[in-house]
Amino acid sequence: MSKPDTRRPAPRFGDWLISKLCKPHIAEGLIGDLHEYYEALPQGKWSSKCRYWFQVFNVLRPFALRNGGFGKMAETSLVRYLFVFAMRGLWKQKLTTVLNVSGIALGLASCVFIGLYVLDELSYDRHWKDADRIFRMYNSLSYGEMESVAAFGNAPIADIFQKEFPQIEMAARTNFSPPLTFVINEKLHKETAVIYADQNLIPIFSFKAIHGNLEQGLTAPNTIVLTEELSTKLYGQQNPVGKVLTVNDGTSFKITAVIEDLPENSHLKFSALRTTINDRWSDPSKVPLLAYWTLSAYRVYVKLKPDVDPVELERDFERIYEHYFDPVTKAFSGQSWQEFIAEGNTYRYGLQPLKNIHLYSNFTFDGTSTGDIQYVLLFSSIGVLILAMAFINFINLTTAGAVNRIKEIAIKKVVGSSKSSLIWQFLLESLLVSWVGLVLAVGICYSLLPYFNLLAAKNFTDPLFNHHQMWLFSLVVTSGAALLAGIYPSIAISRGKPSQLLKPRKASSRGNVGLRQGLVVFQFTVSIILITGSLVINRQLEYGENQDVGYNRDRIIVVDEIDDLGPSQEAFRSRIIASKSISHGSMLENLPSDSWIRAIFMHEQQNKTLDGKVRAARLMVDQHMLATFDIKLTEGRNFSDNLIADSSAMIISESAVRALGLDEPIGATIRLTDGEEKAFTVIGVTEDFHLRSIHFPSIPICLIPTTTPRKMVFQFNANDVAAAKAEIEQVWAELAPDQVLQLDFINDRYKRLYQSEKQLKSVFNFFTYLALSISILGLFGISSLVIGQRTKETGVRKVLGASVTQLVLLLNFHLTRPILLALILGIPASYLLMDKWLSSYAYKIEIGIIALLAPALFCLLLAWLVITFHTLNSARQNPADTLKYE
Amino acid sequence: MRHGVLGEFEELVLLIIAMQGGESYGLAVRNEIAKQLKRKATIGAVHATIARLEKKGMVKTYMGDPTNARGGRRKRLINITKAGHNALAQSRDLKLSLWSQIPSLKPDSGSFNYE
Repeated sequence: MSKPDTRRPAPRFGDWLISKLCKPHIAEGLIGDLHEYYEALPQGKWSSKCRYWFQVFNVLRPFALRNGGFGKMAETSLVRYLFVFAMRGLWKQKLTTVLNVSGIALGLASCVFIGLYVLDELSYDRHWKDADRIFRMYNSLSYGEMESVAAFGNAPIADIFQKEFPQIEMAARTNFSPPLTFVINEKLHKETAVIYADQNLIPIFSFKAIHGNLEQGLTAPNTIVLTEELSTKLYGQQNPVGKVLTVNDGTSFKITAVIEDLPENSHLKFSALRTTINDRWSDPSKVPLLAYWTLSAYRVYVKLKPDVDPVELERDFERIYEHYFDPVTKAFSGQSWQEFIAEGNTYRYGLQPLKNIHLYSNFTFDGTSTGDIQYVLLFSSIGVLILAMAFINFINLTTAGAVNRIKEIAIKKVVGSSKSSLIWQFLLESLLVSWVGLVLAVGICYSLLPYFNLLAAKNFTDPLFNHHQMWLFSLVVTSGAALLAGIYPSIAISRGKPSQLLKPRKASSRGNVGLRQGLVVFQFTVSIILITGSLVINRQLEYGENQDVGYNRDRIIVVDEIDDLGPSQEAFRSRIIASKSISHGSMLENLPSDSWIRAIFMHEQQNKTLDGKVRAARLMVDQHMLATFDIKLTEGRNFSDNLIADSSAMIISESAVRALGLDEPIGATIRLTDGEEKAFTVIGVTEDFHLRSIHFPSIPICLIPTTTPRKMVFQFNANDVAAAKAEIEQVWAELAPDQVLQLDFINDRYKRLYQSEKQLKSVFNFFTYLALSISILGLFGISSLVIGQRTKETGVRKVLGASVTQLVLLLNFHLTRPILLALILGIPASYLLMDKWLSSYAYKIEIGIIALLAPALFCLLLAWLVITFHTLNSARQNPADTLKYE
Repeated sequence: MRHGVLGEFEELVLLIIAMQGGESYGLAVRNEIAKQLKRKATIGAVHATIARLEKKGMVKTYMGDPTNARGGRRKRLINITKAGHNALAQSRDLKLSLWSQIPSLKPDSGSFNYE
């Protein structure tokens, strides 16, 4: 306490608390002592604060407290007795207490998990500095029948927009880079997540350098910026800046900087940035003009100057389109920009806020985002529903159980207990139950977190004490709900007159029962909807995964990056197909299952009409492709073995024939308008097959021969997977010993297309059955209480001659009425909801009567089982025992 | 509450109050206990004890003058009363008398010899 004036004073709240709670003549001395104590502690430390607060609460002792209020309660030990009574009450109704506690624990734990998931989804890209000013440009095009919105722009537009619009502070492009295999100390490291980037990307996203200088990060050719993770992978703890990173294709990079790793909740994902100067497509001197202007492969990010209105800026964009795009439309379709627009076509750029990319991006072509605001909403509502169901149990069991406590309350009232102390007793009971539930929920959260991470494909480390403040949420929600749940029974019961309360069987009023049954109806309606939902979703996804894609996809192995084989590609292929386990092999540029295939146009020139412009996908293949994939030709012929002679031949799919409106497809001339200037002649027609997820209807497909294949596919004979794989590995090791073999199954690639839906499915299933078990728990509790209250009635009925069956049926009917009502509400509701969900699929299942009825009947059956457990017990009791229980 | 009888902690606090003369107050007593006895008492415990001693009439408390320290708050100073002094003396005399009646004590080893 040498220099008291320079130190920070103790928290004000402590002073206030003591001055309010303590006798005034004692308070001043205490506050002074506490300040002096706090000032002597090490400054600014968390532990000091803790010690201070410990002392503050320790000071609140009877000698110091004011009379009245809290002080008086403490003096008369009322609080202690409240606790004693609450504990006794809870102990007396063990079953109810256990059900309540476990229901709350389950409900809260799932709510915490769902909350984590939802908040994490919502937090995407919000952490960047100036995130409000960063936008991604998107391109929307409508041309003839084709409509598309893509998160991509052309190579030149970043510079153009930056030059033309002073509102844009800077603009930068990124582009996918082919995978790079780095050579370090003669070891190979394959890196797939490298992207091309302009220097400006660094200031736009304010990446932070760990080593090196970011100002010159990507300004020179052959420069690369690594993330910390990749740098550690390649160089360990060394500072790699200035080193030369060699790639196995002979090129090399100079490492200019190492930046901090990207947070997981970022839509940008890369392990290294390489300069766009080396990207052939960004250089107008190296690619055809039309391709330079129409190949939309770049993501363009812009940072606006502060206070620029993006909507106004978008409108402003219009003024430059004609100037820049007129030459493009002329080269593309012979029309001027004016004519292009006059035909009703549009081509324009827009700004998508950075924060919306993860959840709201619903472009035709995007390629990154995995989130969906629909799922976020879906899960939020499931979370709220589950919590609601848990607390409905709580309310129901408390109100139903309170009837059994009427005598206790009445006696207390007669003895002179005040209404407020009775209310306090009930509230305290419900708070106790909910807090015990909270403690259990915390346990569940921590122990199940790894499984939840697997389920949701997330990477949470701490469920409660993270930046989302879930602990606060849990505490507030639990205590708030406990008060809500406790307040109704406490007021309802404590209000009655003791004379009425002591009269047996009068207190369970009709309204009370009505509310209870209403809540049970709600619970089961929700359960039925959720189960139907999970059933339909499962079946639809299974349908999608197993749907016939029109080609054989079960028995195909893919070998990527066959460039690595150099000149021995054909040798590789022929050696492998010679083996017993493999029947066909083909070389191609792109696979039907690759989720990203550039859409192009094709039109038919034969009749000199330009109406036949059709959006289609182009597969670059060889003459073995059809055999390898088991795709049948319906007309015409396959490519000949001399691919060069067939270099202007084309095979199209039936849907392309239909889309083009060709009567006589064989011999038709078709031109592609994506930079390839030459025309193709159709030589064959194939059956339709799907390219991607069946969310999309099948697009017309054309196959053209390639001389620069990048992948090889092999069809292996069933049951020979291991042998086929071993064979390929062995031949690869012989022919390309220095290269990494990349082997994959087409089925696995296909499965990856459904990844996000599969996750949705498993998370949804999990919470569905959780919700069901919560409502069953509740029903179990309620039926035990209700039947307990009717023990005397059953006894009398039995004495008068009712059989066990009759009694069970009577009690069951009474208890199943709310479930029946839930069926009536739940079935149509689930039909409507699922019908809406399915409408987003191009190919979908019928919901079917079974999917609707089965969950409802399942719920009913389960409810009956649970109820019968109690009713049978009660009906089989000897009336002599039941009637003497008073 | 038996008047005139001191508990163990009460006696300690009272001794320290006496020792510190008129300058004694809650935190000072606590710090002295920490220093001399290596024993951690909470501020609350010390103040409660002082309140009890006051009730027994062994100390008197009064508010000191405000100073710049402690945010200008006054200290609650403690003075031992005659009754407090008597109680301490009584307790000491009683203990000394008991000590003198222990049959044989080996002063060098500090342990008792029961032979």
